[in-house]
Amino acid sequence: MNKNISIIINGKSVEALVEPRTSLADFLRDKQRLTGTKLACEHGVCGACTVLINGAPGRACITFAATLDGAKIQTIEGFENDDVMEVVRNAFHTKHGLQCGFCTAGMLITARDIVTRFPNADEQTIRTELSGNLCRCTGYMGIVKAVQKVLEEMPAKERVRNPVIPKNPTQTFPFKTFQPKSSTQTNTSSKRMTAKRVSEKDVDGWIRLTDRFIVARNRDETWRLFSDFARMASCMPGASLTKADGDQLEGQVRIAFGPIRASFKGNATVQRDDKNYEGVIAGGGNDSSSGSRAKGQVTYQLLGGNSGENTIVNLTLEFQLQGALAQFSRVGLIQEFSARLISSFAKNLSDEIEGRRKENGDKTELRVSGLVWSVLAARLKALWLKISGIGSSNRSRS
Amino acid sequence: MKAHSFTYERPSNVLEASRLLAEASGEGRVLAGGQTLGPMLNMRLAMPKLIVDIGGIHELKTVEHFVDRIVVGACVNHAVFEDWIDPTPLGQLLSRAGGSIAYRAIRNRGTIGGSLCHADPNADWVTTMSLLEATLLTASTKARRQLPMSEFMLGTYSTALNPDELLVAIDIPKISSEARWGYYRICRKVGEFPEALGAVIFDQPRKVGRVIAGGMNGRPLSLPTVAEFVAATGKTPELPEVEKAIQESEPGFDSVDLRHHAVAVRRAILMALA
Amino acid sequence: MCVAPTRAEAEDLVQRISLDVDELPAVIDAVKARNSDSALLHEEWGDNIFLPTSIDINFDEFAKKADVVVKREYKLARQCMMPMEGKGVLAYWDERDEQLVVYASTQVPHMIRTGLSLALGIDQSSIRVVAPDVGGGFGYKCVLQPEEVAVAWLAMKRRHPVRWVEDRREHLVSGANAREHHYVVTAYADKQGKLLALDAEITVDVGAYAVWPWVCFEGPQAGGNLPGAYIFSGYRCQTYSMATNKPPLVPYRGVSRPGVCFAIEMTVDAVARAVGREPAEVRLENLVPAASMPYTNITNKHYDSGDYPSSLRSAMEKINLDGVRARQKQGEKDGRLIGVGFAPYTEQTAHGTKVFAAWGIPLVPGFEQASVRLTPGGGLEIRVGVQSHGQGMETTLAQIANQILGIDVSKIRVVHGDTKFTPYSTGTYASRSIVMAGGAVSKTCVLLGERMKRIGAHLMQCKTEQVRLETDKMVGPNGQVSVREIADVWYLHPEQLPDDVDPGGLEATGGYKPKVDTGAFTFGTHAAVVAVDPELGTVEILDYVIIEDCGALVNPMVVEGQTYGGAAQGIGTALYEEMPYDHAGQPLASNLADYLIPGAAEVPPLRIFHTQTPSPFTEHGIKGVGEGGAIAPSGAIVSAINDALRPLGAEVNSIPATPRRVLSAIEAAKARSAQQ
Repeated sequence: MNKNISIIINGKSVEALVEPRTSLADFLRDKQRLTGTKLACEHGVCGACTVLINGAPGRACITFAATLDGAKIQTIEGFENDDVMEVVRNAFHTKHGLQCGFCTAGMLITARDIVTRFPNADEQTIRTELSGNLCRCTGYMGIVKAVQKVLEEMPAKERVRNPVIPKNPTQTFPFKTFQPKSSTQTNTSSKRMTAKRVSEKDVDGWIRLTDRFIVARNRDETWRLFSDFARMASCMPGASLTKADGDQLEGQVRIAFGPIRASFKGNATVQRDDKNYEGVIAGGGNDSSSGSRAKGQVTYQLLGGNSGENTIVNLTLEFQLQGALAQFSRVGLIQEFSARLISSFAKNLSDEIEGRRKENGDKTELRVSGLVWSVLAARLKALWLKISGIGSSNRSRS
Repeated sequence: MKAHSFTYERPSNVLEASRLLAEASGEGRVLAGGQTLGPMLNMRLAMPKLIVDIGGIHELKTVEHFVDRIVVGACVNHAVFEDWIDPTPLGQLLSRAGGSIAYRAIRNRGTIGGSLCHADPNADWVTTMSLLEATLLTASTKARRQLPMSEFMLGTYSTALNPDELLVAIDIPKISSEARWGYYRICRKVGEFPEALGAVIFDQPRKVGRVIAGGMNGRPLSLPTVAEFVAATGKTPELPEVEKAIQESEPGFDSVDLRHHAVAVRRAILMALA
Repeated sequence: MCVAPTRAEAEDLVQRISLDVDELPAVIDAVKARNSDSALLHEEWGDNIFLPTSIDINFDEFAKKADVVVKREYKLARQCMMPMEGKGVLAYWDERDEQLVVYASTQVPHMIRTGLSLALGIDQSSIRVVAPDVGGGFGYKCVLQPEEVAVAWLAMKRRHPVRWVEDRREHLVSGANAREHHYVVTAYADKQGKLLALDAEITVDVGAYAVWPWVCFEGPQAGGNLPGAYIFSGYRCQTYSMATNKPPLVPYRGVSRPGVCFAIEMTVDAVARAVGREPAEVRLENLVPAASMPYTNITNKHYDSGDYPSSLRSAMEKINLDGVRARQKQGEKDGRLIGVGFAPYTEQTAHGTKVFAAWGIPLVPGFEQASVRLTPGGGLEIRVGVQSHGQGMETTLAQIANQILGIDVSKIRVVHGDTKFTPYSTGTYASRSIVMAGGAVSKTCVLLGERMKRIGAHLMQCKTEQVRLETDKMVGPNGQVSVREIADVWYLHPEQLPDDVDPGGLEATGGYKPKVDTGAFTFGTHAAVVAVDPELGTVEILDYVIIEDCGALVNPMVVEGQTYGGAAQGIGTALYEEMPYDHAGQPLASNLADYLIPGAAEVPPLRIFHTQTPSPFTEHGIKGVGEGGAIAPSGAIVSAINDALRPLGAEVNSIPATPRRVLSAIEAAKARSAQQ
């Protein structure tokens, strides 16, 4: 499980056995007693933990020590004989570039990076480049002045080339009108999903989505599926029933949202109205690993189609999340994900009713066909072979 | 905010990485630069059993220039683009997009491939690669595929990659030296994810005119009618027209979000026509 | 509590716990919580009101004389204080000393000791609280934290060291505890915009519980401070401190004053618009005039000294009001709208016994003490119970001692942050430390100076009155003797001491409280020029001027640092910071991508100008300065935004003024004008 690493910290070789989950910052602070590196956000935003990793600033909080075998790390304790840092440190002192000092180690390392990369930086550049390091005490005034002071005083030999970052295109040719050819890459390859985003004024915590589809079966036949909860559950991506006792259901819903996984275990109650072909499954569950709870309901309503041979299915999914998984402002993303969820639920239901669905549910992985390998130039193909490791079996796992 | 306990592997080639992922049967996650996965691990939003660190696969860090395309390894850092001294329109655009991401310390470690595979709608590369109609080259022990960007990203945090499949490289077609581009981000704070992105390209010799609205709730949105209008007239459409075009393809935005997306697109067009 | 060798393992344990709770309806909106049909947080109360207060001073008499009446509603979002270092506590039981040792990231070590003693039921002498380097506070760390009690208890129980360090998610989710005020303000004025009376209803979202020891005083403080630097004759104010399902409100830099300053400035702007006059001029005419100082205002605040109108005039000049007005007429090439705003403010600092006792706080500050000791070798040690966590008191207190004793600052060591070594103090909060601890250091150094002079006079064979203290030495009519020699004589060669030497020696403790302890009122004006992008609702601060007066400046650089830092936090309040909750009470910003605090690119270059009006009541005329910077920015910035939006008929009255709020205000104005 644990991994041996050999790492150079402030010029000193260190061999250590680390747990893979240990961040570089925790490794430095707890194992190497280098507590100059501070942790303040642990998600890469505030910059307090900034150190040099192989000479370039990086976040020690989101970099795992195990990934750094063979790397060279320089922490704030390791700049004793660094001429540039000497100037930077003095400038922070004389320009009141720190108050509580908690952001200072990261600020100094970033400031040193700024003065070496942007020897002619104006104030705006300095402020932009400092934006990855938060300070709550100084209002940045002393810090900006300190960086300016360094730039004024630093000998030219310490300066490296200033990369040119284009803020705007340099348009060298006059614009000529033309008819663009149609793109091979359009939006139409699969249905776009959107849902109304929650506004600041209307955050009720519920996500509501509806879908509507038509199946080529009559109402009674369609209703039979909606009376078989195990089959119905198998159509809901990630859902499974562990127990169905009359109108009491027990089961779980597994969610995979990018790297985020959750598994809500819980109960639900079904209320059915056979006469009107309507039903509501309402319930809730817990995902203990994320400390989150969900509650929600699926409402379904079957309407007879025009011919009597078709059925229109109205589907509503409503849910509310609580706990760690709910504590984000980017509600739109969850809604888009949910819209895809209800859409595949609808598709699976319709396939199930019309008998198109495989026994084990829709687990086919998405495959993209029609791609032609041979369009690549021979040289490109060779490159790809090289980088994908194919044909270099001698490089396989040691 | 400390990560859960996981198994860690650092394979030396792509096939080995694929094999490890296959063995993990869906419980593995690829670590490229770790600038998104790292925070998600620390917050325990992501808790995969296995982390496959592809940072040690040197081939993934190469950039190859061809006559008509650039092929960028999946593990090329954002800072490489930022520091790219290339005065061509493509070089400038890539430099602008890569240099816009987060902060330098993040750009030093974050990778283009990691960003694309994470498929955050608000990510700069997602929009830029859609604009440039890049092709994504993937590999697993079973197959190699090339996916157009439009087929690669399915939605928020969702791609067409199979669990044992890795993004290997990004094949970016070159644009002509006469091409004009515009890139406009609407952002509450320097370094934050843009809330709306407009990215446009008008490449007359190649007959490519594309207008992309990024930072949507899902995949970037291409606005071909707007692109055709601009290409044919050399004029910037009025704001209500852009709003209408967005709304037609993606209804459901409230007026403020719609406005931001439309302004981002329109200002990118203005930049391209400047 | 989950206890494990590492935090990661403790978090593993937490994941194995799942709560099975029955959900009750959440109370999220403090204003709605006042309704009789609201769900109840503490059912035994029968309502959700922690504390109502009510003021009526000649309201009807003056309100009825008004020609102009304007009414507005204002709202501040809930905020996190976000010191870069969160809370942290490490505790162990010291078997040798039979003492509980608690290392805490706190502004108030002595108060924590008192609180722990009460909470744990052990004698204060059995507790030592150490606050070594503290990574910022801003009020977040001026209360007894539940974690301090829990960790201390656990350490006593388990007899091994226990540590807890707050992470950022914990801070955001459970530490969103500041600023959430709601105002309904009606101003009554004459045709010129002279204020006659003000009617206000203030609702403060106090959260679920009160904090110790600052129990629920933000609402009453808001009611008392709303008049600010302005004069009017009739005032009616109701305040409601409401319980909701949120973290407890903790006094954050400026406490109620950023809220009241925002509310009163928006109101004065509304009056100026109603009478069609330049808002800056209307402000000038309503401020307390310099000739009236010292002035006791309508809510009985005793403004000790200052020239408020000249501060505003100076801001008008520095921000170039005339230039901005001319530029507005021309319009901007990029289509943006520019506006200018002003916010004069007062900052009650170092308010003492009388004020806190009136609020009914369980722990009332009294005399502040300092111990000073001339050490063998001629250095000086100053021991104070206040806490320095970024204020630079190591420098400023040393400067004060240097002023009295002449000992070089480099030889002075300020000791703080340990109850074992320092005199009792309620700690650092309410912009009190430089006045209180500074005053105590000053008084005590005078005491010590007299003893040193007595020895010096003996060595120089002159009278004590003839001895002058200079840099590291004493000078008499016939020569000089170094401070080091004085120390050597006392410690190593007492045979050379005079017979009548003070046996207290070269160590003294003295105390201090200002003659009038209702506070020294720091004041000033912030002015901002902003550009609003009417297409997006985004705001850029083009210029920002601060006219600041905190009495005698002990150290201009430190004062500026405090003011800049406060202003940056105020910019956060005005434009960025917000912890939204959904209706179920879920906090929706658990990371720094959702909760935005200003970075270097969001804070413009701030231009500061000092004036110095000494307080007649304090030692050296010093006033406090810690909070002032954070008070006025929302007033100035949003005033400027509304000035820019004026051609569109739009007003923003809810902060932070996010692009969404600004754009919504523009849309609402368009809809209004379309209706008309």
